[in-house]
Amino acid sequence: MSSTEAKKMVVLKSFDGVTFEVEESVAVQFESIRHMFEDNLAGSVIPLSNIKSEILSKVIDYCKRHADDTTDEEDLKAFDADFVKVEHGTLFDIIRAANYLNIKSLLDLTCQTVADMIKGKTPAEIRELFNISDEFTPEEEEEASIITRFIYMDRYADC
Amino acid sequence: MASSENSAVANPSWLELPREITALILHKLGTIEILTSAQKVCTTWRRVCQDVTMWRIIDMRNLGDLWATPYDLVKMCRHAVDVSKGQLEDINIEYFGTDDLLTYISQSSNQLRRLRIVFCYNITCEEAIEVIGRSCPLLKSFKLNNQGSLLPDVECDLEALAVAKNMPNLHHLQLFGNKMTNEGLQAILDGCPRLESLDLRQCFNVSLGGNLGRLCSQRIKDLRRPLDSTDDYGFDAEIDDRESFDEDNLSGISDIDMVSDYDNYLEFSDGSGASYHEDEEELFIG
Repeated sequence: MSSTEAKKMVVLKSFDGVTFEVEESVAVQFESIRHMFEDNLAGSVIPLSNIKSEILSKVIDYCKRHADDTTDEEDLKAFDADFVKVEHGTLFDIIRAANYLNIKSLLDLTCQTVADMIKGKTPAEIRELFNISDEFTPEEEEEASIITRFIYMDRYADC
Repeated sequence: MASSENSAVANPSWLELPREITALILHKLGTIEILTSAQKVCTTWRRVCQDVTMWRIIDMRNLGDLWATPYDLVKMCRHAVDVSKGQLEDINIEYFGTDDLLTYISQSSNQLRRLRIVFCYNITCEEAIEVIGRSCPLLKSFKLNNQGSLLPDVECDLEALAVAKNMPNLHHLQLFGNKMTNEGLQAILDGCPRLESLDLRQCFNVSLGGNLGRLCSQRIKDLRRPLDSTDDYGFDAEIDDRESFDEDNLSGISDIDMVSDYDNYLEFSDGSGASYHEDEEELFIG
């Protein structure tokens, strides 16, 4: 355990005005704003104007767990697995926050989660899953299927 | 911004994600799914898939059940190489592949840094190694993995010698299940002075007991020995210990296989990417 009292704290403020006091050892994982508290602006509040408190709280929670060297690898894996069991909307917002704050491991974890949801699905199933409307023009549709035909095995060519 | 009001929207607009994030997600699918599925989802994804940067990594991972797939993976791989327009840096080939394909890849991709070939029995390795070495001077990581064999008298240094002669800039080398002997290993140490990691698991003709073993330990930061655990290998590590068998064609043709360290692979994308070693920077983010 490191010393208890001497820890440097950073204050983050979410889009909806909620402030979070976070240990610097946790906040250093926010690559993109690191310079703000490393430049010794300690005490001042760092505004994160496009992250909602609900999401910021989750992100901080994630970073706390990952900054804690007493957590063993298995526990961390279990934590991660649990962390991404959220609604699509929340996952989406966490991805955007991880991207904005440049937290590589969180971005990887969440993008992997989305990729796992896509895996093995047909284009139509993916559209449905993500509520994507099929905006292909007929030309694009044709172009995409030409590529597919191109990669079909010759033995299937006559099918 | 659409989703910045209050609590998370039930149906977020995934298409509003920054392009590089969409690319990161799609990348984690591997090349086969990108080509057969993701690029056909919508115009946005299609454009992401058409970007050259998307093709710096080609990861042809598959389950090895080639007869069950309706796709011609050689053709598909060629297509991916074409789309990469010479920017390919990292490629993974598993269970398929031909000499022609490897020649095509290496001649189209002089920026290639990492190459992994796993269980590709149709490739004449020593020739392929020569072509690749000649065409891809930046190659830093090479993995060529086979099934380890305990069959007596199956020794072959052709691949090791070809690596030693043609790939002087390697930092990372994995020759899982290779039939090389100490002679091949010595040649590699001499020919690849920058080697930092060397994986010799299941190279049962290599003996690291004497001076050569000491030299390896001194020179190589990350050395995996023939009998080291294969738990993190990621592919089938079953050893071939059948009584002799029609594998004598090994003499001239030597099989090539690849194995890979899945663990390093994992570093790249926490579970699915194609990154090979610790000092290898990620290509997509940042």
